[in-house]
Amino acid sequence: MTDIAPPIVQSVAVDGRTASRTERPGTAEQVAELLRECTQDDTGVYPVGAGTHSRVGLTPSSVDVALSLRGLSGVLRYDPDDLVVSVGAGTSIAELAEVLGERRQWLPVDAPGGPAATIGGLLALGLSGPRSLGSPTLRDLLIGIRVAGTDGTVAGAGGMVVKNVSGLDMGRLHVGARGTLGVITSANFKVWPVPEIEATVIATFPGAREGLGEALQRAQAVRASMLRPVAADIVADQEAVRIAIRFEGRAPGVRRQRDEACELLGSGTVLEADESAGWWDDHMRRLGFRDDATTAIRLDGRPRDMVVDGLTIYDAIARGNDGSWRLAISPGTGRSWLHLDDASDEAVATLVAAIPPTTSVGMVAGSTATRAAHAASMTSQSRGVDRALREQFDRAGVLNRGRWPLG
Amino acid sequence: MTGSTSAATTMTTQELVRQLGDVVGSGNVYHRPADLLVYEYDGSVEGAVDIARPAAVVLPRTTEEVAAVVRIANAAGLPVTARGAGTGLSGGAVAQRGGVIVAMSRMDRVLEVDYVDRTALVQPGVVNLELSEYTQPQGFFFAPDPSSQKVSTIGGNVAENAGGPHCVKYGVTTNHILGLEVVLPDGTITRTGALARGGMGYDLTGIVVGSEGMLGIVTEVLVRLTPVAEQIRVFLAAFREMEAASHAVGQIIAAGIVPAALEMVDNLTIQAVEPVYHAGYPMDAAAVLLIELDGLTEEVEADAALIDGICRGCGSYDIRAATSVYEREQLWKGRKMALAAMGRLAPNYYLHDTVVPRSRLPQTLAEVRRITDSAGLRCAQVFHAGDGNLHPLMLFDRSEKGAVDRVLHASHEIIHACVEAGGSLSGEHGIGTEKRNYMPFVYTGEDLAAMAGVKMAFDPREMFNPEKVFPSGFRCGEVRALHNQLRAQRLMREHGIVPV
Repeated sequence: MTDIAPPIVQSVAVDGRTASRTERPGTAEQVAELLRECTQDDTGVYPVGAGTHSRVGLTPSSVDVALSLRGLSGVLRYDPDDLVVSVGAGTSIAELAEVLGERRQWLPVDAPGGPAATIGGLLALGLSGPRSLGSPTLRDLLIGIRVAGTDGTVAGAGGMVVKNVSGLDMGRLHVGARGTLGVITSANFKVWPVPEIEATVIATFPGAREGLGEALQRAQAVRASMLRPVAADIVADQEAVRIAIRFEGRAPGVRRQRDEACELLGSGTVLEADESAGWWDDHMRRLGFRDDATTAIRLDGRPRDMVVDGLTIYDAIARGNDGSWRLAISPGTGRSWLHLDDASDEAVATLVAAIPPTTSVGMVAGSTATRAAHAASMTSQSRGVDRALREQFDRAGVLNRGRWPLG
Repeated sequence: MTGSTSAATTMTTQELVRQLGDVVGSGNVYHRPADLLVYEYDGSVEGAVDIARPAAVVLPRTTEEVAAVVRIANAAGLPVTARGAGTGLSGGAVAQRGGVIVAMSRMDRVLEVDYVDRTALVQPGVVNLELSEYTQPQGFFFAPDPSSQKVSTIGGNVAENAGGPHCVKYGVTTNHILGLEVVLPDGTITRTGALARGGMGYDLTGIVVGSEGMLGIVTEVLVRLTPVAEQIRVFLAAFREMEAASHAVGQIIAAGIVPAALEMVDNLTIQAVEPVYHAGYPMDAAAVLLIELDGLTEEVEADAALIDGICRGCGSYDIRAATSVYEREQLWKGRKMALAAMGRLAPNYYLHDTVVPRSRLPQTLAEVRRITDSAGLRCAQVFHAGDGNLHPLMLFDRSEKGAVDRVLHASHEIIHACVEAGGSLSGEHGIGTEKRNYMPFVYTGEDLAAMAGVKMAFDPREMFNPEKVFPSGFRCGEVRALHNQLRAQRLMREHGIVPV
């Protein structure tokens, strides 16, 4: 272990399981060397960023080596005039925002689970939030990547230019690959100027089921209009149904859209500036695979089905749940997040079975049984290529061993 | 130079043609030399890119036919090269090692358009501009708009990850592809991204887009449609110095404006274009910027005022906004017809495609000028300034002795200069055969070995579009094998095992 930084005293837990050993390398080359050693020793290695989403995927029977990427945090290079930045994979969204904010720039993405999530983790899970309605995702903004492989090498692709078709687009292969083809050590992005102003219009609809129906209809009307919201979410729980629509840009454009949105929604409270941003920050913290929710389910559907599917999902939740719950629907992207507290495995299974076929369960965090059931229900249409890729990049299958039924 | 057509085959051409004809109909298989002639090259310049003759060209109409053709080629041991409209500029559609060309031009149907979901499911042979024209009445368009968009196909755009003037705001092809149906090199059919069911497995869409036909043949594409903005305005700003124009570009970007397009056209291009197309470009300008803004009316007006100030501050002596749709189209016509007009200046041209960080544009443009001047070449500059995507266009006469060599030498220096400036090899034309030997300029052996790993996962026999992207002599299988061998040797050394 000569080349590796000494293990830090504090051990890292992956999915609630304390690792037998924790490593926190400080360079991409050290990560690669560790992966090579783990491959040689046939030891499972579990990359972890901020740990905000470690409850998704299958529960590993044991965690041999936890690989903390927090040693690779920080901005590696930032060219504000070119609107590009290179960051270590262990950098959190919040840390990056601080650096870019000094130049009134930002990475215009939201992280389900909150801004503590790391760039590497979000890329590996391919996660995006409600902003994907009207703003690019991390995948869209990615222009370069470096990845440590199980062969002990670090391979890069792309660069620091905003347009580049030189060779295979390796970056996008690793987005959503859940760290099973290599460990992302740094990534380069296009960044954006911070918009001049922002505003959010919030409307509340009375009656649980009726309110949701009304909100879904109104959301369709907004979508069909000239309005260009960056995000539009419906949030329903036992108490109320609300819709929130967020606008950003030049002041006159935002003001006009804000007023037109109030008209389309029938009524509305307007949140401006920090209040608007604060509402979404709070909303984002409640999304994702939070530790405090027993079960978190991400549903992927199509915008055209949302009016019907939204109500079907609501019915399924309302039928069999004694505990508290929260359903957040992005009607314009067809994506929903469902959080259930104190739901039994049976209740979750019944609910999942009632989800309409036009919507699929994308990701799940919850009990071991719930996660196993979800994994068992998944298939791949390109299993041959998936396996071949895994074979090429992780022959011994050490990366995230037992967590992902990939390849 | 004609590429080798000596791919080892266990089948006579006659037998191959018969089998292919059984699948697609004999009228859809070309094999006579005269019929093959137009399939020997693409839009690239001969000299920079080889030409090569395929053994046969097939024109399938269905995914199943494509798969069956691939299986026949596999059985015959022949390479397979997919081809769209053949407008590529890096040799991507040339059958470098012969074999079978699968021409996708007859798979040209728009299968489904969903204006609620804002998607279109299309076959790969659909022409780029035709999709936008089809969806425009409903208020939507397909954002990637390469200059070839009147002819080039969406399948080709996917293979090359094509760009275009509007990519500065809307992103390149990959940002608009939601899912694919792909015939893999083993002849099986798979679906990716939003077209895949099951939720498991890698998202192969991202790696297939831009893979230049090396990983599979795309047979269906689910694309994102973009709503047409409420307001579109096009401005022309004329400058007496090219450097002043590039400073204006930098300031517009740095000011936080995201124009829908930000293009530069230099004086030589204006000389070629203006007398024929009457675009309205001042003949005495060293360079003009063509700036398009789109969005809500209020936003466009706010940005327009800022842009006016920036351009004047940088020394623009003439700023005009198109006042009608006709004027807007005329301004764009000058840009889009620039290549066609070059024939007025010289018999041949070599269009280059490189990319640099936007702040390096002024120095890079000056360096390109120095290189082409010292090579005694006239060079026009007409390009996507907002992306830092240069298109130096060198004019020459092929019949002049040594002209091609001078162009290629200058091209080599331009690539060097752009990479030195922190740029890359290609912004939107792809690597193909044209720039394959430059790949080691920007990538290490490890980088290339990782790309080779992807190639081997999809195409272990290396039969799909061989001799592309990877440097000459670079065999993905051998590289991966060597890679593994070195790793094994290192392991043995560490464990004190001596190979017998």
